[in-house]
Amino acid sequence: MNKRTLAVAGVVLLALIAVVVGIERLLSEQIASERQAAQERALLDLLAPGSYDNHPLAAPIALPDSERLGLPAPAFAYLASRNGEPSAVLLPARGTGYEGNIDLLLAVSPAGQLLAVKVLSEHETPGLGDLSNAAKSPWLRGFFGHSSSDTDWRVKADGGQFDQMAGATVTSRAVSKAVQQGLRYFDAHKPLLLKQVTP
Amino acid sequence: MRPVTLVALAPLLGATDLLIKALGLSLVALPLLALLGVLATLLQRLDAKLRTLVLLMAACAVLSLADLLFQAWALELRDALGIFLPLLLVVLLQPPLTMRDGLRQGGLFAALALLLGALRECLGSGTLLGHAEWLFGPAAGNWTLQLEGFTGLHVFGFAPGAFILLGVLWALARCVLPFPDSKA
Repeated sequence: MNKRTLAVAGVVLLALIAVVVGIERLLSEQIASERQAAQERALLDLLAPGSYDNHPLAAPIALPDSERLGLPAPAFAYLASRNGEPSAVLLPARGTGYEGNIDLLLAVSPAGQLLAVKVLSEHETPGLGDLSNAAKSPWLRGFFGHSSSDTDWRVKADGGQFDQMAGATVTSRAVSKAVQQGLRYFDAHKPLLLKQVTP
Repeated sequence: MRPVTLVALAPLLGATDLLIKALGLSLVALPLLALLGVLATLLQRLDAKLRTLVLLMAACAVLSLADLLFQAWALELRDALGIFLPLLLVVLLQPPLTMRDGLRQGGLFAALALLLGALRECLGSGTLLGHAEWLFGPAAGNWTLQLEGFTGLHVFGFAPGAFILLGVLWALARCVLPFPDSKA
């Protein structure tokens, strides 16, 4: 390649870099807000779309004696509200599974019923007690609609109400226990959790 | 007429397990190839090496822009497409020579991607238009069509299933369409 060729290539390269950098500058704010919105969507996808109109993550509620949820302090809950009325509380809970902690996020209705639950992190054996695709797990759905005291929260192997996942009794037991703990915690701290309705 | 070549096989097979991902990919690939075609026409006078260089840089710029736009408005889709969006750069292994050429290559890519995306989503997970909200906003969350009583054969969600489907489509096309190069 001769000098002229290199010069042309260099000029084109610089021009293109300038364009891309300029547009990145222009979009940086939108990119940051989209990133935050995506994080929010990922965490809040267990709430039905349209069931809340506030920004729950903007107002964390610090939880007292969080060890009752199996969590080290500080732990935070979030209140979702619609038209100023609380519609759900997002409550974290932790169970001890077969291979370590199972972190859950519960959505609890103001009446204390479980609306939905989602697994934030787990280390269970893949294939056995695999919670990684929990969104589709019919097993987790079995808990929905129950409150802390309206059913026997033990798994069937222990004489309770809920099926355990085959080959993963320890995991099943840990999850059902953590969910019940969370619901009990909600009952005990209801005024605190429902108090702060953001405008 | 130059036969249409299809070199962007990795994105075509790797990122078409959902129709919405195929759509996202096509939305980038079609303008990219058309633009490369236009540029190639404009730069006909330049010597071949330099033209390739300029086309390469232009493609990099277009893909960077596409990435930025996805980051700004469709972050989940961008994360789902992953490496396959920048990997569209492989179309430069055989860049289009004219705008017509670019449109043909882009059109073929987009049509195949959408067809594979629709088939693979139906066969692989028993849905259609799943995750439409990635591209069309929260209002599209309920666009997903669920095939009754069919939850899918997972193999079609993975690359081997994509190869099988593409092979079947290829065979069908050769049966139906007269191929200029099928002398054997």
